Order: sequence, then C-alpha cells, then structure tokens
Amino acid sequence: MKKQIEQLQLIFDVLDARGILDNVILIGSWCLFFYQKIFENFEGSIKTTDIDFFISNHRSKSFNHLIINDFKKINYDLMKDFLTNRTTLISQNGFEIEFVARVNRNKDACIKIGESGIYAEALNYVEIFANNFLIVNLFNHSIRIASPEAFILGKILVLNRRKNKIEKDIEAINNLLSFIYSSVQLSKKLNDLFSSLPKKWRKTIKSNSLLYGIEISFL
Amino acid sequence: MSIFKEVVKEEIERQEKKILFYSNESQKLNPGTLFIRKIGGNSYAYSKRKINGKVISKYLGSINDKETIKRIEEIKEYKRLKSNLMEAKKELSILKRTLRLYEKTNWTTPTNFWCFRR
Repeated sequence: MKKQIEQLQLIFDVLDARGILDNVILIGSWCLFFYQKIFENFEGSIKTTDIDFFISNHRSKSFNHLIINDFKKINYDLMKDFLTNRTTLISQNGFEIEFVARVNRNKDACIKIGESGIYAEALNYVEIFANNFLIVNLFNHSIRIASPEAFILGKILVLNRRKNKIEKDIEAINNLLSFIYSSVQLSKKLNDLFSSLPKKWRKTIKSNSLLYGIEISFL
Repeated sequence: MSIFKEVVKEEIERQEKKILFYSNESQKLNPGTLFIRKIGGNSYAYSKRKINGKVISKYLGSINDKETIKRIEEIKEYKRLKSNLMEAKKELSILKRTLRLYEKTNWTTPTNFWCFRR
C-alpha cells in the first residue's frame, strides 16, 4: 500500500505542477482511500490499480502536450486504443490512469482533452460529480474527490452496465452506505442530492437499487 | 463469481495489455545497448546489437553531438520499456499462479485485501 500512496502523490504532483488539479475530480474506488482519511471509523477496501479522473472542463488550455512528458518522467506511458481513440496512462510500478468526461452533443465515444493528446472516455451520468465533490488537503495539494453521496448514486446509476464488476461495486456501495446512514448529516446530504437529480436518473437509481438488493431509502 | 477472482482476472487482463504495449513499443525502437569509449580525452558513443549470434558494434558519434544525444535517449527509453516489460511478465505469472491456486483450493476470500502487489 505504501508504494501505491507514493505513486498517488507523484500523480498529484504532476497534475498540480501543470495547473490542472482544479480541473480534475477523483472518482472511482480510490475515493475510498480519501474517505478513510476524512472520516473517522470508515474502512473501505480498495481492490483496483486503476484510477479515474473526471474532467470538468476538457477545453481548458492548461491541458497541453507537456503533461504526457511529465507523466513519462514518472514512468507513465500513453496507451491509445486506435479504434475508439480512448487513451490510458499506464505504468508498471503504478496505476492505470483513465480520464472521463460528460457526453457531448455529438455523442462522441471519446473527447479530446485540450491539446494534451489525451482522450477522455465520454460517459453518461458523470456530471453528477461536477458539483458534488470534496476538497481534501493531502500530499500538500488540494485534491478534489467525489463526495460520498455522489460516489454512491453515481455507482448505482451505472450498475447495470458494469458486467463483471457488479459484485465489487455492490460491496463498495453497501459498505459506504452503512457508514453514511450512521451519520444524520451525511444521510441528509444523500437525500438532498437524490432529490436534486433529474426524474429519469432517480427512476434509474430506484430500479437499480431494487434489482441489485441495495437497501437505500429516500424520503 | 467471487470478488477476489474477479479482481485477479481484471489484473491479469491489465498486465496482458501492458505486455502487448511494452513489447510493441520496444520493438519500434530496438537500438541495442549503449557503451561509451574514451579516446584521446574525448568520449564517443557506440551501440551494440546481436545479429545472427554475432555482436555488432556501431559508432554513433561524439557524446556531445545532437544526433548522438537523441540516440542515447532512444536507448534509455528502450531500456525503460524492456524493464517494464520484464516486470509486467513477472507480475502476470504471479497473478496466474494466484488464480490457479485459488481455483484449486477455493480458499476463503480475504475481506480487506490489496491488489497483490509486493
């Protein structure tokens, strides 16, 4: 785990040095690591070596070709899927870094991030993270991570598309959910976020929760 | 299917992807190994490659030449990719062994585990 934390720090060093840390929000299972740091008594198990970032503004000029060079210095290579254009930063001693963005008007599968040469995968529902994040001060950086309520609802929204990862996701949701329900404040935040979502999304959350046996109650 | 098995399978797929990437990228370069000779107070770079069982040395130029510096960088990049490739292969064999052992013995899934990194 120590190695992973060192790698995490290196990634945030690069993102901060290029001035794009304010433009990325950590989503995915590595949020659990940060929740452990923020919330007392929370224990989450992280089981992946991939790390996902949501890009809030993919047109930002801070995203330039130098980012890839900076990542190369810390042993990260840009791997491109020539069919979809999707790119991933891979490292043998580190993580697999993936970027995601909201779906654009053209419904492109991948979206170019600035002039960096990196393409983010366009996904539905990820805009849930755009306004629902926490700022954590760790590794001398202000890191934006998805809020626990957005993490849970975001995961439930895409559950039926997760194929082999369903069991893992359900375990993570239930674990975090039981922690949220132990706090009145967090439960209220979860309800508030749910109420603020579009009707269609709420319907999907309710049907997926029912389908996969997630005990979530909404007022 | 157990979460443990799924995680191992996911990691295996990831390592296989990495192996493919590193071997393709290193094949694109394949500049041989670098060695530097000191002649008359100056340093000169050579590359060494094995072709048909014979070691062939190739003069690259003075280490201060722009072209030589570029070649040296290429050789360093090749070395980095090769070392990553070796690591990925090692990791893959550990993961495959872990999966085989799990399927054979069907041991109890650890409740709070990290992704089998050493």
